[in-house]
Amino acid sequence: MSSDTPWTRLHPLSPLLRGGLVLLVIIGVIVANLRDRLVELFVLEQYVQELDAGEPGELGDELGANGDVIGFIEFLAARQQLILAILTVLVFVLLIVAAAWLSWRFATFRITDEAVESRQGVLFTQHRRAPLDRIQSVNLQRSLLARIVGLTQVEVQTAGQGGSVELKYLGHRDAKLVREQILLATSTVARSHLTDDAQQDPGSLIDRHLRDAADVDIDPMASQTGALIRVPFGRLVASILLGTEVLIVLPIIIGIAIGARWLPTGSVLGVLVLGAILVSVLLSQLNKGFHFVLSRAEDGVRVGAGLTSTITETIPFGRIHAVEAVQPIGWRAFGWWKVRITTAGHEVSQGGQNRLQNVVLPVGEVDDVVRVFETVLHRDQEGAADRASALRDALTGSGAGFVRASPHAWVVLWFGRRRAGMRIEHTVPDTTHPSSTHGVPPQFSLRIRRGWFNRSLVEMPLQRAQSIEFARPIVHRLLGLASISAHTVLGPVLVRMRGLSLHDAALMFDELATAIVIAQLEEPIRPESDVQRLSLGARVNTPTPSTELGHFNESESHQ
Amino acid sequence: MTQSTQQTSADLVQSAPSTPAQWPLAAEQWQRVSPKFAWVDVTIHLVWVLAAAAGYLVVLTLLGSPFRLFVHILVSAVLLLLLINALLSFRRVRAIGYHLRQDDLLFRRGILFERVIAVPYGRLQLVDVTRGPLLRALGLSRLRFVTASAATGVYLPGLPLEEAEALRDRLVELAETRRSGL
Repeated sequence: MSSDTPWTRLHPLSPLLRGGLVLLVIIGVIVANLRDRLVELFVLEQYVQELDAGEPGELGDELGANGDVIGFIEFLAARQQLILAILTVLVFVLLIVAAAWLSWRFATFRITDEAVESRQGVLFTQHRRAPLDRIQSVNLQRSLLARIVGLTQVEVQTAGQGGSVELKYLGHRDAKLVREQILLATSTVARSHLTDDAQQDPGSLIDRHLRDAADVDIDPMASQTGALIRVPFGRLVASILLGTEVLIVLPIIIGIAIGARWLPTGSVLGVLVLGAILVSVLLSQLNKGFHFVLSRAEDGVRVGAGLTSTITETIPFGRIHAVEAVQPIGWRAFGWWKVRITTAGHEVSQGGQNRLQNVVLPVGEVDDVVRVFETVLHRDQEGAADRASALRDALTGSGAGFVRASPHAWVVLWFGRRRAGMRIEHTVPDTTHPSSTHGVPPQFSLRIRRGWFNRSLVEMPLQRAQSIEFARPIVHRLLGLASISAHTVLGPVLVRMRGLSLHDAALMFDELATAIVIAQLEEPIRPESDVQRLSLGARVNTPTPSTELGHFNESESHQ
Repeated sequence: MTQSTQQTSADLVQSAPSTPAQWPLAAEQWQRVSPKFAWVDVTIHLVWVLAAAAGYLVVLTLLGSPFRLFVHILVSAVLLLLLINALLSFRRVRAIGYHLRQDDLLFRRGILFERVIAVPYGRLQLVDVTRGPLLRALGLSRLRFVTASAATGVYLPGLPLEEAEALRDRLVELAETRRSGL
């Protein structure tokens, strides 16, 4: 029974990271800067007077010489008030610790066979619930501070714009186990083993800690199948420096800097602000691409990156709705591309430096792009070689078989008119023949090429299309053109082709409308409802924090 | 599906005959919304125009008309455009139409910015029938189709209530028989 599953506590150091440390730092800064004022407020006037007067008395000399904390302590000692002061500070610290302990004690979570639930809060309890069949992805996040302390935050994202269940914080190993449990419970693939880091030789405490801190969290099985895609550091830096942001903003900054003599001073300040923003954007790009690793776990695609704050996201297959490969003009000489996706359940409004923001390849060559598309969309289905060559042609070649934009479309497409095109691609051949081992119905994707400054290729499996739109905005209408879009969930990838001639657009609309009906009919009803639930016995219980601490003591005694 | 593995999209487009004049449907095949809705549309737009004009007048009287001539002209032009937009409501409402095909729903909207949307029945997540005070006074309602994509944006304002409810029931029934995953 789901109601019988016990609640598990989070790691005891969690309150520290959730706000405690920052609070302490702030208090420290305030005290250091307003020391004199605080002293005036809380202590006798005598001290202040003696300090100001700088009297030649014995005490006055001492205080005058060092009117700092040590001097203050000596002052108190002289007045037999030191004990009182220490007691006050102690009480204050105890109050903070008590509040933290209370907050820890009331924060719990559990994984039942229906949902992932979390409860927190003392006065105002908050109970969050993520049903297992609505879970989109399970992410691990580690900020710099969390990594030093050895903790990880687990975030369970659900479909739709609802919230996510966050478990702040668990030990690194526990977090991985929890993630495996959740993914196991939501996937339909039976597994005979769980990733089991705890059973590896732990080594000494420090070794383990260092390994955890440096851990990039790759699926161990994936490294053997060679499904990894890595981004070399040099390429990452070069790609950032040649990216669109730099190419646009840097000339502006240089131009203003050169012309500073003739421009009002306000613009120079504006340049500084602009420069600061640019640097922060570049650093965040570096953070999102540093040590980037893409691997294919059994249940989805695992993406990990980060310099100061690492994050690993696991995106289940079937939630990936559209994929786009983009090549900014600065990268064209090197042949580099960037790939991003639209997934169901990703909140576009949620920014923050801990998000990978739907990028599955920050920079890579055409081979990498082909591998990413294959990993993300097709998972080793038949016809990989054909798909690869078709994709290469669509990316960099002439685009054979694509329906082109109309010659009049230069008004709306400008330089991108030559390249623009759309095509319904037959991505998985029909293997429903009785002699084949597994009958897979044919699958079709919509591919759209467009752009000149930023070349792009969009691919969307037709099963993911919710609706098709044929639109004629004013300019298109006047020129006898139309645009076709395929709608899917909200995300960064726009599946739209503008500048088609009316005849082509009408034809493609009919074709797509038929195709999405067929694609949608062939799609199985959600597998979760049909497959038997995995037995509870296979699940591993995460150790409670007290056991974890006991484990530390145990290993120490063995040293 | 007409496309075989050999025929690419480009081939398909080149080999196909020219588009019929009345694409995708003949004019009489489109189901329309009630023309009475045009009055609601006009009213709402006129209210906006009046509010904007009143606001502008208030600003003028409060500040004692400090603006130059071109600002007056600009604002008047904007108000005039809004007024024309309001009067176009009749044309606009006539351009709204829907049609239930075998496996999907076709929806059309707009004169200057024309849109045709096809939604398979299985993609319908929910159907919404709402009635504001103006619509209720005229016995009309607004029907909205919701799919997983926010961009689908199919809504039929100004359907008579019985027709809206019948359509809703029919759509739900069709969607149930063809439901698929996300």
